[in-house]
Amino acid sequence: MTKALPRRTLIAATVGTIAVRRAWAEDAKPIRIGMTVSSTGTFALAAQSGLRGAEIWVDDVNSRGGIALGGTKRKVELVKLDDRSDKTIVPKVYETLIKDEKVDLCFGPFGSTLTAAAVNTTETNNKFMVIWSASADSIYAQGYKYVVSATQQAGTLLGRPGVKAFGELGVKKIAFAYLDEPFPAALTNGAMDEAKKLGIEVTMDEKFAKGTKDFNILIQKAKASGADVFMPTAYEGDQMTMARQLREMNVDFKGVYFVYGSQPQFLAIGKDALYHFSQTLLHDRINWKVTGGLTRAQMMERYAKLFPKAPYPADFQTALAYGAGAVLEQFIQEAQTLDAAKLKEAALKLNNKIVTVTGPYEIDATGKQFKNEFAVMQNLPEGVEVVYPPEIATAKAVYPIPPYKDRK
Amino acid sequence: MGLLILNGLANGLIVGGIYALVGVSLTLLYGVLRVVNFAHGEFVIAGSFLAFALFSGLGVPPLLALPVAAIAFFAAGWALYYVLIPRLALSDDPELMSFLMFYGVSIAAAALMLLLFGADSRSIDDTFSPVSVPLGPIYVSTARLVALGITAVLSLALAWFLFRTLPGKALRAAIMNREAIQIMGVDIVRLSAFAFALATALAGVTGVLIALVFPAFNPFSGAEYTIIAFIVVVLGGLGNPMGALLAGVIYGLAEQMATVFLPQAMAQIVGFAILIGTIFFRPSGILGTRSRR
Repeated sequence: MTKALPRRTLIAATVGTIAVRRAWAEDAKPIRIGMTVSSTGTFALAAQSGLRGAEIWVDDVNSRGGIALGGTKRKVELVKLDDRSDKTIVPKVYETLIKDEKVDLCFGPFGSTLTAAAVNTTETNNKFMVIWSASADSIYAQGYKYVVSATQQAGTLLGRPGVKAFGELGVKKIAFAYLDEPFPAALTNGAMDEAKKLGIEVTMDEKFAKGTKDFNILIQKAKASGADVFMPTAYEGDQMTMARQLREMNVDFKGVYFVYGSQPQFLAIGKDALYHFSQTLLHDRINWKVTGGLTRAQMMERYAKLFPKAPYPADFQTALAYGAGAVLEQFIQEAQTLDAAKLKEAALKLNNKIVTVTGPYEIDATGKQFKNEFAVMQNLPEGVEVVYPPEIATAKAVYPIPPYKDRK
Repeated sequence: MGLLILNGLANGLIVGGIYALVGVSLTLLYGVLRVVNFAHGEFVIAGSFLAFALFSGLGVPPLLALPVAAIAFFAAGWALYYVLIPRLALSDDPELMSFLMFYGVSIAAAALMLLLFGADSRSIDDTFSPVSVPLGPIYVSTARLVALGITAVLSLALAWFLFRTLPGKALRAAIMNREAIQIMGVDIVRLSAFAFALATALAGVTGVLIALVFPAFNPFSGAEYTIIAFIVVVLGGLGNPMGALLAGVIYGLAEQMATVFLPQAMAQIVGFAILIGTIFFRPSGILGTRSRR
C-alpha cells in the first residue's frame, strides 16, 4: 500500500519541477541555422518561397519545444542574410554567418548556382550544409564531406520517374527533344539513360535553341521516328505551344510527357492539356505516408496560418525546404551532436528511413539525393491524378491516350 | 520526308508572314523617324496581352480584339510620340539616343506587364472549329490559316496605303528625304506622329496574331520579337516596308526549311547566317537602295 503525498507537498514539488525545467529550457541555447535568402534578383521569388518552407519547419519544431539534443530540448533559430541572387557575394555572406553570427550549421541558398558558391565556404569551416534546391550533379562530384541534399534530387535523375512509369505501361519507343539549357538537358540525358537501361528504344534525341517559336517540324520528326511516346522538355511557354500544335496538327502519340504539364498555367490551355503526362512534387493529390515532419495537408495549413499575406501560394520550393528541415531534425536527433562529420554519418545511417512531404529519402556518400522522386501525373478529364509511383497513385494511367479525332 | 517538306513550306509561309508584320512596323518607324525602337517586341507582346485580357476578362475572341488593338495602340502610339520623340531632337545624336531611350522603354514595358499579368506564360484558350484543316496530306491549324489571311490582307492594305494614298506617299517621301518634304510644306511633326502611331498599331495587331499562332507568351517574350524584327529589317533593307514584308517571308521559310533538313537547334543559326550573308554581299538589304555620298 502506498501512502499519498500531502497535497501541499505535491503542489510544491510540481511547481518546483516546472520552474527548474523552464530554467533549463531558457538556458539551453537555440540551434542556430544560417542561410542566405535572395531579397532581390533572379532567384528572389523561389528563394523566398523556400524560406517560407524553412520557417514552417522552425515554427513546427519550436511549437514542440525544440529538438532533443544531449538530454535537453533546444529550439531552432534561423539566421538569415541577404545574398541578392549574386553568386559572387554568397561565399562572403556564409563566412559572416559562420564567423560573426556563430551559426551551428547551414541551410543552402536557392538553386545550384548559389549553392555551388556557398558550399566551399561551409566545407572549409567544417560546417554541415543541408541543401534543399540544388540539383546540379557537379556539386556532388567535388568531394565535399559535409553536404547533404536532403530533398532535392540530382538533375540527371529528375527525368527517371516518367520513363519508369512508361516502362511499366509497356512503352517500347520514346522520342526525346529538349531545350538546350542545363536543366532540360540534364533531365533529358538522365531520362534517356533510364530508357536504355529499361530496354526502351530512343527513336529521337534532338535539342532546340532558346527562342524557338515553332515546334511543328520537331513534332513531325518525332512522329516520323516511330515513337510511342514523345518527351519534349522545356519550360512552360514552349510546352504550352507544343501541346497546342500537337492538336492543331492532329499528331497522335500513345503518350506525351511535359515536365510542367500539371502546373496551373499549363492547364490554362484547356483541352490541349488533356491526357498529357507530367511530374511534380507538390499537388493535393500527392500524399506520402510521412514519417518525418508534417504531412502535405498539415504543411499547407501551417503555410496559410503563418503567411496569410504571402504573395503566392506554397509551391514545390516551399515543400523542398520544409522537407529538408524535417530531414535535418532527424539527423540531429540521430547524431545527438551538431558536429559536421557526425551529422553526415547520421545522414547516411538514415537512408531509406525517412519519408517527408516530398517522399522517401536516400543519399550516397557524396550527399547526392537519389529518392524524393517526382510523382508522375496525368491530366484526366476528371482532374489531375497521380499515376506513378504505385504507392501514392490515385488513378490508373490512361495509355494509350485517345487520338484527337475521338475526343469531344 | 515529303510530308516534312510540305509542312516546312506551309509553316514557313505562315510564320514568315508574322515575322514580316513584326518587321514592317519597325522599319516604317526607322524609315520615317530614324528611331531605333528597341521596345518594339514589348509593344508586340503588349498586343498579345491585350487580347488575353479581353478574352479572359470580357470573353472577347481574339479576332474581335484585332480592331480594339489597332485603335488602342494607335492612340497609345500617338500619345507616346509626343511624350518621347520631341526630347530626342534635343540630343546631339538622336539616333543613338533613341536606341538607349527605347531600351529603357522596353524594360519599363516588360516590368509593367509583369506587374499586371505576372511572370507565368499565358495563353488564350480559344480555338477555331475545326481546329485544323487538311491541305492535301498535311493538317494546317485553322488559327494559323486565319492569321495568314489577316497578314496578307494587312500587307496588301499597307501597300495600297503607301502607294495609293496621299498620307502614304508622304510617308514614303519622308523615308526618302525628310528635309525635302518639309520644303514641300508637309507638317513633318504630324506625319511623324502618324507614322509612330501606325507602327505601334501594327505592332499591337501583330501581337494579337501572335497569340493565335504561338499560343504562349509572357512579359519577357518581347526581346525575342525585337531581335526577329531587326533581322527582318536589315534583310529587307533599312526603312523599306516592302523589303521587310519580303524578308519576313524569306526568313520564316529559311528557318522552317532548315529544321526539316538539319537539327532544330540549327534553325536560328541558318537565319543568322542569311543575315550575315546579306550584310556581306548586299549591305543595303534585299530591296534596299545603296545610299550615295
